[in-house]
Amino acid sequence: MKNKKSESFLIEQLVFILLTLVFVVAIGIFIVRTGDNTAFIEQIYAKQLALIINKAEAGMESEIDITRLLNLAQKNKFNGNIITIDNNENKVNIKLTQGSGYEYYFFNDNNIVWNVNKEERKLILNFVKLEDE
Amino acid sequence: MNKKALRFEDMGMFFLSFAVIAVAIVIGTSIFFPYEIDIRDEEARILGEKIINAIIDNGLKEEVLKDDFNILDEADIDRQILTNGELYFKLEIIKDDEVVRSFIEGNRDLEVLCDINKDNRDNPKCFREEIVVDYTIRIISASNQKGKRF
Repeated sequence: MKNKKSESFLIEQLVFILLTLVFVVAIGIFIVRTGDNTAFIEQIYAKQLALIINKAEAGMESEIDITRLLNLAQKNKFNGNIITIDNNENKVNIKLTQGSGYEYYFFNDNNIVWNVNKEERKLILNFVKLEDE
Repeated sequence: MNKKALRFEDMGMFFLSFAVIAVAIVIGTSIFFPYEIDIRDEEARILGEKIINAIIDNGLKEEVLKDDFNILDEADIDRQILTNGELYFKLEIIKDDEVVRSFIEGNRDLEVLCDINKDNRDNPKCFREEIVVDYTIRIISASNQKGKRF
């Protein structure tokens, strides 16, 4: 009788320990995923780039560090174009996973000649007035 | 010391404690990592400043008052993007309390929405500036672009 009671007590404690472990692991995963939130980083870079482009004037050249983007794309095993600047539709796309990405429109009418230099981990932007081309 | 082991009858309180901790962590992280970054204020300001810079050069440029002056070309602003309903600007050049030249482009509703219920986060953000250089130059520019996932 006493053995049965001890066994039941042990099972109860084991269940509580397992539940606690599951909870701690779930919270840990949530915090880690929130911390390196790919979707959030895509949004930040798309908006920052749009602001840089909007502010720029013809003849300017900008170099932007994209180490964080390249690291996240590598972590997500994504080998596609992480940055696309569409001069026809005036929009910036940032994509760091195989799934969806983030896009933001800019209003600067200059033609943007852009290049992702993966060795130097930089995005290089050159702003050319349309009539100068 | 009164030590008490957890029993199955305590399960309700056990899950309630987890729920309270989980909610606190979710709220905390959402404050630290807000999901939506709002750059509409900055965008409206850049648009307004670009317009002003396009018409001023040691005073108001003479050609601004001519009928064929194209402000969008001068400010390097794309006309197409202004038709998407998320951007707007109005520039007025005033002399002796009379508007002698004005330029309006984009979604005119944004100007009205800027003045209604400013605490509403869904309302557009506006930039207003008044400069006096021979003429009084008054500009209001607005943005309601929020970006999207594709």
